[in-house]
Amino acid sequence: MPKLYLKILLISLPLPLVLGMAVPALASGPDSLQTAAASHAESAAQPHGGGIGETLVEILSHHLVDAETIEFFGFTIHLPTVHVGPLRLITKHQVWWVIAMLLVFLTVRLASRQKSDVPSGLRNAFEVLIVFIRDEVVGPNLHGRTEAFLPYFLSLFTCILFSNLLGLLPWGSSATGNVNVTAGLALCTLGLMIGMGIRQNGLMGFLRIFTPPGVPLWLMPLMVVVEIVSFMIRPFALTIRLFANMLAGHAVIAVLLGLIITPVFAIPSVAVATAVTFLEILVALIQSYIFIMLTAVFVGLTMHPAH
Amino acid sequence: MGLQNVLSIEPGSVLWTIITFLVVAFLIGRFGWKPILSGLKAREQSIRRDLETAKAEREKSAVLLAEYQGTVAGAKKDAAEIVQKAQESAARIVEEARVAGKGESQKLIERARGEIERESESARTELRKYVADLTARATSRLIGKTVSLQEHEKLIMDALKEER
Repeated sequence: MPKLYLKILLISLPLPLVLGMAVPALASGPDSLQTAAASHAESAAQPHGGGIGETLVEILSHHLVDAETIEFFGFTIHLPTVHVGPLRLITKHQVWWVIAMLLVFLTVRLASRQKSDVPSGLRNAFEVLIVFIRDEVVGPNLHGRTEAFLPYFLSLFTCILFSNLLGLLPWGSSATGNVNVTAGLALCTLGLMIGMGIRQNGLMGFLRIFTPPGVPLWLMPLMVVVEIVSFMIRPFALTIRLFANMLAGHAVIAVLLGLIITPVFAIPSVAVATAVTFLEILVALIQSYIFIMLTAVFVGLTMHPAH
Repeated sequence: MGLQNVLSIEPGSVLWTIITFLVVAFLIGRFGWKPILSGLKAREQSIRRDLETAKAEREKSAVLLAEYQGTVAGAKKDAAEIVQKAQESAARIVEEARVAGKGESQKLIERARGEIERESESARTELRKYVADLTARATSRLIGKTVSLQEHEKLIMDALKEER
């Protein structure tokens, strides 16, 4: 066991450096913060103004809110954001989302190149993941359609996971910490729920899930409303769960580091922030798993409403 | 740009996510998961087939083993029987040989004894004949001449000497 502690200590040693660079404004004091924040925000001035609290809010929003710039190694890259009517395209989180998916594509492609009968390394890791998702997530919920849906669920899991983990890298950002990205993913789930429900049971069969059997006729109007709400709330819950978990993790780390108002505070703050970072790795995995698990359960429920 | 902006709805981001995800998920599925999945499936099938084959082979070999064990047991029994028979026949042969040998030697001895008797009989007969002949010849000579006792004795001795 002492070896494990030593490893954790060794891993955590560079973290203050890394995180210190990620929030350089904290080290240089409120004045520079004001200017840093001012470059990103039009209405930086809060009613109270000037204090540490305000600057922390600025830093938090700077790190958590979508932007039209990407910061990398201290450079600020302005993105070619375009506005098409109400749509704002090519923003920070959108770009990080695509980066995460491209990393997934490259990793999976790399793993699929291995042609040995006995898999090893990356391919072995992916096969473990595939078998787990097939047998524990997709199989029990989608029964006969497991093979058709497996690639979708695998892509969903890996893309969310990579996106979650990218937020833990210096200068990285979690696209899944943006409510719009998770809403998009949850809408895909909703589309799958409706589409597969209709395909499996026909339009009337699908609509029948909103009229549960054994309910008195006078209660039916209420029940239909309840069922529709409960149907729609599922993707909504998916959206909020993933987004809030990712946002909270980053917020907690940023707040912990924000506690460093004098160098002495750095030691406990960085220690706890390091621990939270480890927790975030776990949360990244768990939330990806929960997202696909619930997607599978919801789609399975609309396909086989009898259960 | 306050913290409340984390909850701002951006239809652009929602659409962007849906479209890019569906496209990339398709691409990953087509070029990434598909080869891995087909490899995985092929291996699973081959393992299942191998297991089934192994099971069938094991059953077959169990049947064969039982068969061979039966054969070996039969062979052992046969061998034991053969050995038993051989021992019996050997004992019988020895006994017969012993009995036969005893009879043969008895016969031989008897024959030899008969032969000896016959020989001695004939020898005796011959000797008797010879003595008689000799006596007759000696007597005839004695009768032909008148001799003294010494002469007589000398004559017999001469005759005997001559006759020898």
